[in-house]
Amino acid sequence: MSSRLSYYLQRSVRFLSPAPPVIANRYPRLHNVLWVTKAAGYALLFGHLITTYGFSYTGTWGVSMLPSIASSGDFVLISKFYRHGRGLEVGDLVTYKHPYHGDQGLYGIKRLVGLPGDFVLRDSPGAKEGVMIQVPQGHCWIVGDNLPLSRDSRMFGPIPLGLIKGKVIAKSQLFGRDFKWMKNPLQDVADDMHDEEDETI
Amino acid sequence: MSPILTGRVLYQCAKTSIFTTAVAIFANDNLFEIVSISGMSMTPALSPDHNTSGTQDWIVLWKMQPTNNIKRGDIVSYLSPHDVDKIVVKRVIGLDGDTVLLDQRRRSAMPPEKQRGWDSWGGKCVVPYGHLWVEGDHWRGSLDSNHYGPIPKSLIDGRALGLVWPWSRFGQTPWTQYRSKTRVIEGIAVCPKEWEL
Repeated sequence: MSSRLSYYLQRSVRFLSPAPPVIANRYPRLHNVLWVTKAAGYALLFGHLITTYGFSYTGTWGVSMLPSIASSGDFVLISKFYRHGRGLEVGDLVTYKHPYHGDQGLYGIKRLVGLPGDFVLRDSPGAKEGVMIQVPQGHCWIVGDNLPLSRDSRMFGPIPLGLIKGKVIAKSQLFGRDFKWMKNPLQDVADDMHDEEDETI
Repeated sequence: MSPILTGRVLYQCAKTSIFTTAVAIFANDNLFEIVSISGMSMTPALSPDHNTSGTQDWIVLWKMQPTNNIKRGDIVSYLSPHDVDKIVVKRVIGLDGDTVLLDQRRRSAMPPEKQRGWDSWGGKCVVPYGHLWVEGDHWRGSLDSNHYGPIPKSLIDGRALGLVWPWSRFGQTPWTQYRSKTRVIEGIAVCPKEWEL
C-alpha cells in the first residue's frame, strides 16, 4: 500500500506547488487586472481583520471632549484589544457605538467614569440633588470632558459594555504630525496625604 | 521520490490556511454567522428538545445591517447586557415607539429580587427611540428585556435567516409561525429633539 500512499502524496505536493505562469506570459493585461483584483481583495480582507481586532486610525469632530480632543482636525489611534470593556480602567478614553444612532454608523469618544458596580454621580457636579447611582452589571458610565457641552451617560444613562468598541491610545494631526500618547490622567491618592490619626477609626 | 515536506510546500500550506482563516473571519463578521441555540429560552421554536435530549438547533444569522427593516417577530442576536461574553438570541417584540404591556406570567417565573425590578416598570414600557424590546418565547425561563429593559439597536449583532441543523429542518424558519402573547400597542419612532443628528 505504500506505493498508493506515495502516489497520493505526490499528487498533493503537485497541487500545492505553484503552477507555471501561463496567464502572466500569454495574457499580460489580463494578468495585471487579476493581480490588481487580488491585491484589492487581500487589502479588504486583512484591512477588516486589522481594524476590527487590532488598531484603527480615524478622524474626530465634536466639542464634547475639549480640551483633550479638538473640535475638528484631530485624528485618534484606537486599540481594539480593549473592545467590550476588556482591560479598561476608569479614566480611559473609550470609543463606543451610539445607543441611539449606532445602527446608522455613529460612534463616539468619551471618558470611562464608571465600571460595573461603581457608584457615579448621576448629573453634573452641583446640579440637581447630587444623586449617586450604582452602575449595573455589564454596563458602564461614560462622560465627556467638556461637561456643559457633552451629551453622555448623564443624559442616556449607563450603556452596555457590548457597545464599547475600543480605547483611544494616541492622538495626532493629519498624517501623524504632533503625535501624542493619551495616557490615563487619573492618579492614585498621594500616600503623604494619609493622616496617622485616621487609622484609629 | 523527492521529500514531501519541502519548505515550499509548507509555505504554500501556511499561505492557504492563513488566507482561508482570514476569509472565514471576514465572512463571519460581515455576512453570515452560524450559532447554536443552547438554552430553553426560545422553545418550542428553537432547540425544542434541549431539556430532554440535549440536542441544539443551529441557526444562520445575517450580519450586514441587521436592524434595517427589522420587524416584530424577527429573531435577533446580541451581546447580553448583563454578561458581555455571552451571545443571546431572542425575538423582537416591540420596536421603538411601541408600548409593550408586560406579561404577568413572566413575573411569576422570576426570583423575588428580580420581581421588584419588574414591578418598577408599572406594567408597561414605552420603547425609546433606537431601542427594541426583546423576549424569549419560553416565558418560564428567559433572561430578556423583562430583566434588563429595552436594548439599543446598535447592540444587535445579527438577524436570523433560517435553521442549518438539524438537517431535517434545514432552511426553515420555525419561529415565524409563533405569535407572542405579549401585547404591544404599536407606535411611531420619533427621535427626541436633543438627540437629532
